[in-house]
Amino acid sequence: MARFGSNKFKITKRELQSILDALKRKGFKTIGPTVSKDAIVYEEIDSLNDLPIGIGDEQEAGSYRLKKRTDATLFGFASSPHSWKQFLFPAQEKIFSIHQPTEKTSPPLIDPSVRQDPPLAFIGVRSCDLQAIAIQNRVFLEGPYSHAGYKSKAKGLFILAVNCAYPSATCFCSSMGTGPRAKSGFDLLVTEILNGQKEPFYLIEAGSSQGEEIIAQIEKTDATEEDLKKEKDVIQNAEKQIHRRIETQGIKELFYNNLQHPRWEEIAQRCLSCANCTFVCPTCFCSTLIDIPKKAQEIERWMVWDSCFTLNFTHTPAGSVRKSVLSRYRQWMTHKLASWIDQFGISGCVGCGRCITWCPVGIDITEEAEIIRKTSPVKTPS
Amino acid sequence: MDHLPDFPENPFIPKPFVIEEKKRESPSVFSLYLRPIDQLPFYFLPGQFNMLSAIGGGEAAISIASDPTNPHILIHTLRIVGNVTKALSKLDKNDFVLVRGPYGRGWPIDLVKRKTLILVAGGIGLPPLLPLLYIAQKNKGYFKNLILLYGARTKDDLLFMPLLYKLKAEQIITLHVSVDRPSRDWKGQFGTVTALIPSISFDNKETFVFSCGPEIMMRFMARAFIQKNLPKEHIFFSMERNMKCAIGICGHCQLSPFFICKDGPVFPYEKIEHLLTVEEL
Ligand SMILES: Cc1cc2nc3c(=O)[nH]c(=O)nc-3n(C[C@H](O)[C@H](O)[C@H](O)COP(=O)(O)OP(=O)(O)OC[C@H]3O[C@@H](n4cnc5c(N)ncnc54)[C@H](O)[C@@H]3O)c2cc1C
Ligand code: SF4
Ligand code: SF4
Ligand code: FES
Repeated sequence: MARFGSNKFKITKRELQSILDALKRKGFKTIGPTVSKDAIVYEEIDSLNDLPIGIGDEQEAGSYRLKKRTDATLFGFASSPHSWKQFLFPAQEKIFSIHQPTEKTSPPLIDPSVRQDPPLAFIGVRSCDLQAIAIQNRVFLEGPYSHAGYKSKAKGLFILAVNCAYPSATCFCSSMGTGPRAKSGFDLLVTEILNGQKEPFYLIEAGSSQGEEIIAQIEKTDATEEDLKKEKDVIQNAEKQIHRRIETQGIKELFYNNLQHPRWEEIAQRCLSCANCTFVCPTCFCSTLIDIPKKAQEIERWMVWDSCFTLNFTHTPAGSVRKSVLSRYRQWMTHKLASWIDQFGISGCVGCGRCITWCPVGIDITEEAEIIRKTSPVKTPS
Repeated sequence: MDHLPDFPENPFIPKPFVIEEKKRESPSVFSLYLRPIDQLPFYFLPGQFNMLSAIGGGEAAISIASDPTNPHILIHTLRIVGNVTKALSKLDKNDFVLVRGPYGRGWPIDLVKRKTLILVAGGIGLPPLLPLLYIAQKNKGYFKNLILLYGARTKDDLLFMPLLYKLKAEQIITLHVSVDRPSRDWKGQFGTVTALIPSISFDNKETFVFSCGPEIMMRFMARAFIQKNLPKEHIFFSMERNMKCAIGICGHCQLSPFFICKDGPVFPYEKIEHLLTVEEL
């Protein structure tokens, strides 16, 4: 680990563009934030001009608004309705197609549809989302089985991360230990620094040999003591803007001990069971498989996102296991904050705040966790 | 049985099997006898399951009901309850079935070697226990005693009775059968299968219970055995939940910390007891 990250360099926006160009020349499909329909989304980008230049956001429980900034930052916003999971774990993905020859005695032919897509380069991944990617890697790759579609995309992935400078009001990464400073899991890491001017400059460091190679190709100067201090200020400022938090001390036991807490009923009265929170969440991994008839004798099997908020999710011949909204919300929150730890050795929540912002009725996971902790009949040490 | 297949590159790709024989077991239950078209032996452990589908008909988790010592014929017994099982029921001899597996953790068979094993089956819960009966048949003395308590709704819902009577006649199993709703011509026991428990005697230290059936039946069953001082850790359940992937990545089968598909479907009762009393978990 220590091999990387010790050298930080100062670069301009123009050099950031050179990095994009270099990645493209290497055959990467570059994906980054861009503005579309009044929100910041992640899409294929060609140049830095596609990025949300001078755009910020205002977020609260149940609300999201873009706002013009007075500067020309490229990363002056926080989490968006999109997350990177849609590229590694697409909302719908073909698993295979199957052809039944007309001759009934000939066996069906299965085409595993392994696509040779270009490798992906993610531009502008925040610390919380780096951790979310690491979590989904565990889910999909560390098996014992691994998901071939995910693997094909995750294995060649290049990540240019950005230290988060402008968290939104719904963020709480610092309490989850996932940000705002990016610590690992990137090839390159930049910090965008304004220095009282309209145009930012950037500090850049490598997190992998691939990242080092790229840095070697661009124009740069060594970061000075003063630059490093400014970088520190950016992170400290970001930390100061984060007001929401979840106390994680003993959180697994807290939720396991409170499966019958009356608060679940109170939340269920408000929850629409719309599944928004699971779709915007960068770690939620649930899916279903469906068979789609294509033409005569040809069927495709697809993997599509699913959510524990749907009634069908737990359907068995004896009916659904989780019939009530109460039981479905409880599953979601208990999975995120407690059972995930048993399953994958890590929390399922990275504190990105998306589920709070995009809940139509503004249910706030931090607030609910706090209430359950305060009113838990069994005290958990904190 | 220790040559289980490696984890495949793409676990979602099924293998075509051909139906060698189809048998009706009851008005709503049928069995498929399957042979892999690549002729490779299919190894599995008792209590494991496969994902089965008719081409284009969606997948369902179905227990393996065949003889583990004969890897050349794979048997599945299915109850028709919805779209997936209906599509499979429409297939006939020489048709193809897509199979992937085997999946999950099966019955702890080493633990019960030379011990008394009591199997408690409710309805369609019998098929996953059949591999154990075949082991007993092929390998006399594997179990000290093998007792089967089998319950079904009506006489017509009882499955595999000729096989069970044969095993009984050969003194391979002790058989207790009960039906919930006895018809006029039913001469045996009636009432729930748990009602059979108080009347059987066993040596607590040397006896184990494997059960598969409706959850509520298994819970009452466990309670009845515990009342007879059987240690909790001697009781095992095979659990059912909605399953889509069978490999721990689709999320459907979760029971609090467990993925039933990969941590189960067979669980020591001790491990899940506290979870079964929480409604809608
Ligand atoms: C480990 C394991 C072993 C099993 N072994 C056997 C066995 O040996 N034999 C056997 O007969 N069964 C077995 N089962 C049960 C079997 O998997 C189910 O009966 C089967 O999946 C039912 O599929 P179906 O389409 O026929 O029925 P359905 O009940 O219709 O369910 C099919 C799927 O479609 C969806 N679905 C269907 N209807 C609805 C609805 N109304 N609303 C929402 N979603 C719906 C559900 O997502 C469901 O997964 C086993 C189950 C498990 C978990
Ligand atoms: S649960 Fe909410 S805050 Fe946590 S990672 Fe998911 S969307 Fe982000
Ligand atoms: S919270 Fe729900 S949708 Fe998200 S991973 Fe867990 S079970 Fe799946
Ligand atoms: S069936 Fe998909 S996680 Fe268990």
